[in-house]
Amino acid sequence: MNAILECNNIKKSFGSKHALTGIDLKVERGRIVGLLGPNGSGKTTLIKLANALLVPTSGEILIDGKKPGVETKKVVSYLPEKTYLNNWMSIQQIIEFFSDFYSDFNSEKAYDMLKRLNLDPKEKLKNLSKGNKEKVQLILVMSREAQLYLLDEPIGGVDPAARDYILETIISNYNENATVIISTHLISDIEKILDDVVFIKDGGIILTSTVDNIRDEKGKSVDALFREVFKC
Amino acid sequence: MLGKLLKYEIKATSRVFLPLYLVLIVFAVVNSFMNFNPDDFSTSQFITLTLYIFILVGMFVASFIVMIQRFYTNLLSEEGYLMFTLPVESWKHIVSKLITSVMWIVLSCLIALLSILIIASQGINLSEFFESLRMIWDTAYSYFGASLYHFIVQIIVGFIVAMVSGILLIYVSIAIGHLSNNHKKLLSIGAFIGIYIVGQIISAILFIGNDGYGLTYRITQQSPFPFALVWEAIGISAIFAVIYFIITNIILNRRLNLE
Repeated sequence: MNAILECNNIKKSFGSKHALTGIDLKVERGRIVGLLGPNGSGKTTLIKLANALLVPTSGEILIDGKKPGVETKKVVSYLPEKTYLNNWMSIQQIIEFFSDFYSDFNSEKAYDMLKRLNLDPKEKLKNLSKGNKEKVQLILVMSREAQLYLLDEPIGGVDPAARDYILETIISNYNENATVIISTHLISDIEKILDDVVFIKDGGIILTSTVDNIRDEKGKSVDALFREVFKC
Repeated sequence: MLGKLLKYEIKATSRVFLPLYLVLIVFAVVNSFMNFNPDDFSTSQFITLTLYIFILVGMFVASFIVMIQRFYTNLLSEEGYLMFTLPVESWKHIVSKLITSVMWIVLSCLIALLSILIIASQGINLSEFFESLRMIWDTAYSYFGASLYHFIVQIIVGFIVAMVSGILLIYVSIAIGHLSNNHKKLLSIGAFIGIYIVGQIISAILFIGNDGYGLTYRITQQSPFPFALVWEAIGISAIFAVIYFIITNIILNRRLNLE
């Protein structure tokens, strides 16, 4: 079986600015991976490349052995850091929208999660608070039975209580062959659910490791290692 | 998938148009009850007629604004994160928005006609009206003969091609504007003006010709009606449309850079 995500010497520049300077990365199935790095390190650029929202300047990115496109979009569930909800649908209508376009979308699951988080399906999207919008987006993304979940800063804007529920949702809602990649700089909150970590800085990968390795060999938590590596 | 995109595009835009159509028809009906008499024009008649005209103009302005706003907001602002991660080729996004825009413009024209008929229905005898329509038809038929149908098809196709070409010119301008990091709107307007001028120059060369014997000359030399040459002119407009479409699609595919 192909690796679910493979990057071969990916470079991405915006004009004279080099966002990614040569990323080599292979992510296997069934892992929860933390893509960790400070602001502006290239996390979002890498995730956007995997979603065909950007095209690499050079190098190759493969999802399940295929270049990003219509076929890979069917198996990738993506949570951007931006709020993409429109101002005219209700929660119910956007659930219908997702089940119309994604054959792997499970509406039942979505309604369950809405209930757990006390969100009314009839509520208009434009009337939701910022935190609730983020929750709705996460519910939409996690209600798909995808092979790869790409979550860009999934817990940035929600309160700590909802944060725990969301993390629990993430680990309990993907099947064991699926991979979840979570980009964040809030490491201590998500450390306990991660299998692997990728440290990214100035557009390059500076460390890939399993969390167990970091704990055993370096005797440190991921959070402590992160603070050491990225010390200002 | 194109069908699904169309479904949601029509849903999103019908919220604007259906109420407008309803209001326009209501005002047309109200106007039709105000017996118009040019010698005795009351203030209330003046107000209802003015409001009606405002709504009529507003309807076409809305078609224009919605066309731009749907392309920009739904595809190139934050909503683009949702639309471009759907498992759909990007050209289908362009086509779904294009078809929806054309549909609303055509419907707006038909509703406008209907509303005018409603207002006029009070002052004129409808059977007389249709009788005179038939006379116009007969006159046209005696001029064109059987090719009157050809002429009508040509008018309709020409109208639609011109409309599609105009809409795609706006799309390609917005897409080019998107290439700028800081001045998207400014670059869009600049692109629109630039492409428009280039298009006019190319058209002028084709129609006038550098020796003065271009399409226009050839069209006026033929009688009763130069169908082939008018098709040629429509074809030129269609080629422009195709070029705008291809450039827009390339930008959405290769140069997308959502904020």
